[in-house]
Amino acid sequence: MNKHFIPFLCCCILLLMVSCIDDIKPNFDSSLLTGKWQEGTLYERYKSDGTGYTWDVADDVQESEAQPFTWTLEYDELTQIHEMEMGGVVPKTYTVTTLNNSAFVYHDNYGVTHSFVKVVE
Amino acid sequence: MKKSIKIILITLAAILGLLIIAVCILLFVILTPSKITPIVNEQVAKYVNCDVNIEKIDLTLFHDFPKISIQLSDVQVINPMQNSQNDTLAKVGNIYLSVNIREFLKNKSLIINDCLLENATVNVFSDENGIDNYDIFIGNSSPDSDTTQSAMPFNSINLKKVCFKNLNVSYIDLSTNLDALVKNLNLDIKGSMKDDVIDCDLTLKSDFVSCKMLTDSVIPQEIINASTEGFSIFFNGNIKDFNDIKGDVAVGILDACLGVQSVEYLNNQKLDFKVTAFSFNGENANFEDADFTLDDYSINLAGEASISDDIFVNCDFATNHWVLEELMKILPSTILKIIDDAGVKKVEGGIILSGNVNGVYSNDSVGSMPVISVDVKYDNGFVNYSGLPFVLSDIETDLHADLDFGKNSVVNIKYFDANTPKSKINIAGEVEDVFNKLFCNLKLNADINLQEFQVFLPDDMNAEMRGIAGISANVKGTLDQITNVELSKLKLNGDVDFRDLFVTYNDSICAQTAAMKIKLEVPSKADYQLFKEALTADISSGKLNINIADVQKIDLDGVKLNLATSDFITQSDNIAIACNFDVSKLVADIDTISVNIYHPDGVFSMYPQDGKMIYECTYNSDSINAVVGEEYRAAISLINLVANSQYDEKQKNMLLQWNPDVNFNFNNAVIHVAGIDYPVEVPKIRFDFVPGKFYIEESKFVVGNTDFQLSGTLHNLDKFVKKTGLLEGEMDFISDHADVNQIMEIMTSLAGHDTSNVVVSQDTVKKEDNPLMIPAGIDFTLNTLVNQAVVGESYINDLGGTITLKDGTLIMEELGFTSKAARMQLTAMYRPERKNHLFTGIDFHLLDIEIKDLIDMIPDIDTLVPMLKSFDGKAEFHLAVETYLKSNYDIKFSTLRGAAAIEGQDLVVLDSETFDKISKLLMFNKKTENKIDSISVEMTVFRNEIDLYPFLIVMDKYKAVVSGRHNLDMSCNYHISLTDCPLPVRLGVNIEGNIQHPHIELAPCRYANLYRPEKRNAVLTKQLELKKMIGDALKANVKD
Repeated sequence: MNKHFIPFLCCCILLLMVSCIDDIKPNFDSSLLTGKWQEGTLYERYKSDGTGYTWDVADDVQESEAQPFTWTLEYDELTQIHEMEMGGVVPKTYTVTTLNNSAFVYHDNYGVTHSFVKVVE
Repeated sequence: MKKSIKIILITLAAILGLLIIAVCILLFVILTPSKITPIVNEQVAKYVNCDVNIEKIDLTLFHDFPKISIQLSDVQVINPMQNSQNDTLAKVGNIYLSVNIREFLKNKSLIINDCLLENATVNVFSDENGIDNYDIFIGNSSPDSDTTQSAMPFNSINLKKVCFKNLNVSYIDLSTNLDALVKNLNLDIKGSMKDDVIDCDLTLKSDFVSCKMLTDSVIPQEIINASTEGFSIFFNGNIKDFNDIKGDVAVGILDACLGVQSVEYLNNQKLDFKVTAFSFNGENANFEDADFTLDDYSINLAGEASISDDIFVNCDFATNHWVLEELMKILPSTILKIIDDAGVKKVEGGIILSGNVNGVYSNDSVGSMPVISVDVKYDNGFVNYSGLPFVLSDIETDLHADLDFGKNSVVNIKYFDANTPKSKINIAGEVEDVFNKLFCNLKLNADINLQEFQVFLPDDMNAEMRGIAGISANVKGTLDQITNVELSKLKLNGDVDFRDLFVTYNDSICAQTAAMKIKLEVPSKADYQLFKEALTADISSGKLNINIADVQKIDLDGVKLNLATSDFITQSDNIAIACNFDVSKLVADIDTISVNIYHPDGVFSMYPQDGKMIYECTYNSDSINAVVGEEYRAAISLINLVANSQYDEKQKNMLLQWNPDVNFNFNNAVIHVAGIDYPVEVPKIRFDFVPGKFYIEESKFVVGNTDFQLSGTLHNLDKFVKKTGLLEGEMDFISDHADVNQIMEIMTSLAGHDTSNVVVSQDTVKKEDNPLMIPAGIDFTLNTLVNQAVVGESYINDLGGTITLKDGTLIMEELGFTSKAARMQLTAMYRPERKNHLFTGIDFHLLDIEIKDLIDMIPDIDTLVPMLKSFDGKAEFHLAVETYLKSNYDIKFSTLRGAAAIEGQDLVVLDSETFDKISKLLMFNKKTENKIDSISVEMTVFRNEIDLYPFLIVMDKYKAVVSGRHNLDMSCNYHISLTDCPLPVRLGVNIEGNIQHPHIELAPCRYANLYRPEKRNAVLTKQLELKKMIGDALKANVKD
């Protein structure tokens, strides 16, 4: 039994380490998110009060006509809740990979990535 | 015989014999011409201051005793004066006088048996200082020196024969520039005088008389120039007290010429003046028969006249038939000028005047004129008057005038007939107050050629008339009232029959009818109690065609119009009209619109009130057929319309200006629209439109298998227009049966029909986008209730809800229904924020619906949830989706948001190729029943991404969790995790690629612990939270 105990213990430690590694997430500073971000014709603006809005000028939508959402950023998980006028909600969750003063990159669970650059604080 | 007597007789005879011998000696020795002539010449010279020479004086005493006579031969009176026409004042060839000496001595009667003056020439001259050449008697230089009245030396005078032969007189007065000449004057007078009564029979003739008077200027101008080649006067009558004249007078003048101040009044014309049985006493003149004749123009007078301070006349007069065109030739130029200035260019015809002048002429401060009564007969008349655009011919008139200059003067027109080149006029009646207001009471009958009379239309009217107007009318009013058409004062009634009437206005509006009758009446007897009616016109017409700019054609048949107007002439700013109209048929073609209206009738009125114009209309018509191009056809069986309006010109908006109050009702309308196989039937519509409020009381529509009723109210229209308030309204839409399939078919047909117009060859012309824009300021609610509707093959019941227009947004709110398949609730919103940014969204709930019916009802759901078609059974479906649209209604996908939830129990999984593949991969038992106990699907739509949140499927002994995404391009990325199964392993399947032909492969089980709370990690927990959030948010809007 002893000769099996050492390998078993190593495996357990390894498994625990792997679990710990999985639980370690990047913790992005949400204050960096506030501002106006642009990806081509797509814009998103995040405000410090947890609200924001998005618009795409390719569809002839101006900032004043942008659609609102609420957002939270916990670690690297960005959640946008798009509340519809008609009564439903559309939640969107993304994983942030980059967030700094000039760049903001996130992707969803289906591999769709968005890369924004900050245009206005 | 006694001796003494014999002696006496012998003695007397001897004395007589001696006396005779003595007289004979006296006559033949002493009173011989040779002895007496020098004596007389010598004695005459003592009494005159000029040379008088009598060649021979022959005195006869006994030759014709008791007549004695004296004869003077070659008497000459010579008195030369400077500038006189002749030194000889008078030269007489023979003067013979025979009187009855016995009567003179015995009865103191002067009987002139014979008085002859012949071959005399007299030259009378008066110089510039008034010194006359006939002032030849010594001691007679001052004619006024002897003013004593001389008594008549005779008891009677009897002129048996006084004869002047060949008397020539010349008279020149330089002080007055008068030059007169009489040639070959012959005068015969017989008469007597006794007791201041003179009987006289006078005949005077002269071959030539002339008189000329010149002005006293450097270049003398003629004042009077008169002459005649033959002049005669006959008088037979008596004169009493040298004042009272009675008798007959005739004056004849041949080749009379008269010029006054260079104006020629007579030119070699014949003048005759004959008066019989006239009397004149210095003040009064009576004449029973007086004829004045100028050439062929005569006037007969009979009556009396007196002259004192005033002139009294009572005289009948009558002319012969005067031919005016000849009369015009002899009228003086001054009169012709007056006539010409009056605008009369030519006058022809014959005229007869007769009448009476009776009254006093007074020139005092009061003044008066005699009354003139005259009958005028005018025939074959012709007048060219500049005031008329045409000549008047064939004038026949008979009129009587009583002209009282001080009071009322009346002209009674028995008839006045005249023709213009194309018209006939007949006037009869009476004109009073001729010299003042000319009050006419006339009856007019005329056949008027309108083209001839159109010049009387105002120039700015730009109208043209053709046709005939038969007029029969009575008119009463002053001439000013008639010419100014003062409707408030005129009295007029009559008929006007138009034939072949053709009127154009402004070169664009034409009206034409073969016959039209207008009955006019002024003042109007109509009593609409809306305004003071001044004129009534009853208009009836057969066929009336109106053409507007060759584009709009209106044909009316059987027109009856009873029209009453106010005095629109003097009150043109406030015209009031009221009329009843009744038309058998109206056909109108306006552009591509053709309308047939049968028996339109009603009442229309417009009148001012409190500074505003009031319009009122009641309209009825039996039926209307209308065609609009090839697109629309409509037939309406009955229309009733009652409309009132107060026009307020101060308002700027048309609705506020007109402020209408309308009650509209029509029945049984059928409308056909091209491309639609079903007519739109409107069994009834009844609505009221009052200021600020539009109320549809009742309306019914049937379109194919669909019927509906619409009723309700719109209010605050006025505030909405003024932009001071919302347009508010609420209406009910109620349908017994609605065939949605048919409606969609109709809509599709309409869309296809419309787009056909914008496709040219193979290129699609981009139509200018014109999306529906909901005006702001409107708060309108439409309550809908459809008892039964057919959607696909499904019947749904109690479809109800509200459609709201609110401040620029269209909301279809909580529209619900029930059917054997489901209960439905729909809320939809359309809010155009700008033309290329149109918000639209729906919140849709289907409860207890068969999935198959759901897909049938909403085929597009298959796109959102492709797997749904793999299930069968009852489910709940909740959907909220919203997006902004472009102006052409294309979706702006960047704005697309949506969430849906589907819940079902006891669902059957239909056999399909995909399911077979999955079941093989997951090693489903072949005996596994393809029945799902429950399903709860939540999904979201974000832009072009459709995310399916993990949901559990329980099938027999299997539990599987499905999640994934597919995009609107139909690519997909799904995962199925088999969480419970008889197998010892947890398997998963990935489904990727095109949804129609997906790539399916085994994959790690991703959701083994999703529904094991104790083993669930944070990610799975969050997903369930989001899933719950989606479902709760959707279901929150479900109405119980």
